[in-house]
Amino acid sequence: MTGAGYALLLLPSVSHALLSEKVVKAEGISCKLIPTPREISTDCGIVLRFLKEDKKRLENVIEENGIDFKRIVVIQ
Amino acid sequence: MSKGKKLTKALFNPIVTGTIIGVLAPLLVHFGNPPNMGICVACFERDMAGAMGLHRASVVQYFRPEIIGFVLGAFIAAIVWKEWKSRTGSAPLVRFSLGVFAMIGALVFLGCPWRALLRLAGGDLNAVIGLLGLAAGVVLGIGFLRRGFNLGRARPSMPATGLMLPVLLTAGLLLTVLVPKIGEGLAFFSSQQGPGSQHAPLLISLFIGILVGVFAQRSRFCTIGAIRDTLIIRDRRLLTGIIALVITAFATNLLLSVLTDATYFRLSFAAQPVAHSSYLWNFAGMVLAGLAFVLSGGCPGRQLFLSGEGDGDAAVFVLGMIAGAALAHNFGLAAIPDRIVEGSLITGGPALPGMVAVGLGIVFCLGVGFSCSGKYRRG
Repeated sequence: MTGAGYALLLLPSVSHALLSEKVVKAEGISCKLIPTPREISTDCGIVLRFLKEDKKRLENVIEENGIDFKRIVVIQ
Repeated sequence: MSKGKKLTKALFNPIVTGTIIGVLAPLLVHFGNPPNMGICVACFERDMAGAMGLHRASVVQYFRPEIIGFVLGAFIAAIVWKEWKSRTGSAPLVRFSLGVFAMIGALVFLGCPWRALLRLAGGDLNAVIGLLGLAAGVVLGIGFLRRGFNLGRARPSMPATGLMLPVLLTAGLLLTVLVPKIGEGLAFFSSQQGPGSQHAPLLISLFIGILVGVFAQRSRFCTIGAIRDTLIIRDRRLLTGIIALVITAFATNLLLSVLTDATYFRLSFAAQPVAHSSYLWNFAGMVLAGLAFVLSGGCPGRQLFLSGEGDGDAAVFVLGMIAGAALAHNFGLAAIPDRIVEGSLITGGPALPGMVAVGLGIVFCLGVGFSCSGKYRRG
């Protein structure tokens, strides 16, 4: 379920991922925490997966809440 | 996805890694490692601390090639698949101290999470108590993750940072081979009796270590991550690897028991090899270890693999564990195994200093948990 149509928010820690899920869901954006795909990072942590059309909205929510994040990867 | 990539993805998954560990760990026992201790990251790092003279417990001193193999295997895999990345930067002293207390907890239980699973597969019921303690520690740690616990982000660093641990361990290995004894009464120390004297031939240990390192790096195998992912996001991918490890180790133990004269499976609490049946301290030791592992980001095996792929923070944790082993034995904190004296069972466990250290360790981890929570912002 990490295929085309999705994007992934990579974060510095599991705590960041848990908080991100909370604030993003509160804004009505559909998302799910999943294990970091090994093609994306060597991290054994978790990332937030969301629909790529929500990228701009999600970025705004994350920025507004001042949450530190690494990068957003759009699955091609 | 190309056929080659599909095959690689299928090969490097947690189930295959768990199976490899589950089969090879009992074989390492067959080749000479201590019973139910084919692989134990905590015990082996403790033995290495002893080999360097950081502690003088004469029965647990040997520069274990498996540990070096884990780091080198992960290093090789990370280089081959272009994942090697030198990085470091967050809370080194906190990570070091978490490593110290994780080791103290593990040595009160007498094993790391991997050995707990291998002990279970060998019929040691104390492992069930230890694993329950580990899960309790992980649950406690998850509570802090939900409160926003983090130790800050690692940043790219100069290559020397990421190379430090692989190079140091390789140098240590070469030294043990080329100059096994620096001088009379000097390192390297090597046990003449006890668990430290029991080891598989060096090349077998090193080869198996490298193999495990490659597979574990590629599959992100992590016992703590398995519990954490199951509880937080209901993802059981890593957990399947742990289950595979226990099942295959159990099957290999039974097979070895049939094919050889030795016993590889005995179901009991009392007098299991290099283990004690003091229930409370089996539980409490692993609560401490589990909590420290979650706060530091992974199990001791995972920290070795991360060190191999260039993670300086993980390397600091590893050094903390080695220092913790030295403290544990120099201050009498490690537990004593059960033993049979004149036909009577004498239950082992930690002495008072070990009990106090576990309490202090839990207080320390709780302090770290509270003080490092809620910092999400860019900075």
